[in-house]
Amino acid sequence: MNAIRQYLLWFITTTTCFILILSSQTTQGKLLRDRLTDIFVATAHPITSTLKFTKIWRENRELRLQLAKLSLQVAANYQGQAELPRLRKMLEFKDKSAISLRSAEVIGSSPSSGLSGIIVNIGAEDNVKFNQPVITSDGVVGRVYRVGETSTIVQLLTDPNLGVAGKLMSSGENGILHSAGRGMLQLHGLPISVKISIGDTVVTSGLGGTFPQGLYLGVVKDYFPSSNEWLWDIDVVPSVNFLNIEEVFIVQITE
Amino acid sequence: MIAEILRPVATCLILLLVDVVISPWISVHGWSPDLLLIYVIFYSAQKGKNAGLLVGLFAGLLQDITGGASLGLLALSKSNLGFWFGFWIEKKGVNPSVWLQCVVVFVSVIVQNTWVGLITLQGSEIEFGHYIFGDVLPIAFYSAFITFLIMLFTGNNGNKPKKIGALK
Repeated sequence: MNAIRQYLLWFITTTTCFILILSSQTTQGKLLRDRLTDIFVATAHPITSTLKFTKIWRENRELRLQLAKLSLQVAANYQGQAELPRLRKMLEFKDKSAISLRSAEVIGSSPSSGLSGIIVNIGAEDNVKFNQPVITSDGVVGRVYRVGETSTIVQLLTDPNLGVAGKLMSSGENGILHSAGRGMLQLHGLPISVKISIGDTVVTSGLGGTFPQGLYLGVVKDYFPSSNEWLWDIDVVPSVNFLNIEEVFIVQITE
Repeated sequence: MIAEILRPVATCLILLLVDVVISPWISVHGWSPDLLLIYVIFYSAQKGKNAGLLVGLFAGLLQDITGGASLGLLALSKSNLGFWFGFWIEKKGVNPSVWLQCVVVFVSVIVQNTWVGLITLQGSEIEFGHYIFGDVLPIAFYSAFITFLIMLFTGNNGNKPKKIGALK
């Protein structure tokens, strides 16, 4: 009897965990987790901000200088921009969608070892939605995975369960890019007849609908025939340093 | 009694906050120690299997809620690791030395991440061997090293396991 009592708590706990695992994808479960993440992020945000303050101050000075340089560049581009609508009209090009960027501050990394992710400080209040692409100035970071009211979990490109439609910029050949572990990516699905060079740029192909075309994903580091010998397996170094992301942009596409 | 319950709850919350906020600063090549697991092992060694089970459940649930993986995944692994380590310590009646706790943390990280990997890597192209040798083992080493440092600085050379009245 005593032995049964000894293991009863263990049995109840383990059974509860299994039930939670099986029911974790229900709407109520997701909603509860999103709200709790919001509360947690609200607590963590002031600490992160304090830690980042000195760095931000230094960066601010550099950015002012960069801004001045860019202003000159913008002035030079202005003329070309003014001509764009006229040229588009001539080509009968129709604007299908409008893309806007929402900047978000990274609060921290996802504490779960089951997901390569980061937590950012904006959510549904800022019109963030599931599956929206997340980028930095260097390229694609990942996609929106879970959205709370004021926080969002971003699934990184290095997560094994995320695949992105990518293509080689040089040849335009399409493939699927996914994590190869240890912070590396791998592009699959390119026929062996395609000519590849080390250093080729890999960008999003726009297929699949999640990521717009032409966003930087990385550069080719190495390539070798896959096990079936009909296709290439291409090692890609991501363009984003996932260990040092402080600010991201969430891409919002309005049809 | 309330303090006995509140102390681990508060510690878990603080460690989770540290884990999320500080981890990017102390991570080496993307590997960061599992602070909550280290705490579960500490607590289990000091307070016994049932306390280890409950603290493991709470710590795991916190990580599941604020992280992205399935709810219950880390709760299951952490609660079981807390329980079985506490069980072993109680049965053997040994004083968990610095080295023993480091080894247990090392093994626990491997067990937990192998379990998580078995679920989350399903359908992915990452080879399981790569995951174990490229991610799990370095995290296990790092966590064991952090355990060693914590015990060195806190002067915690192991306590005899004792149960809390409320959690017997």
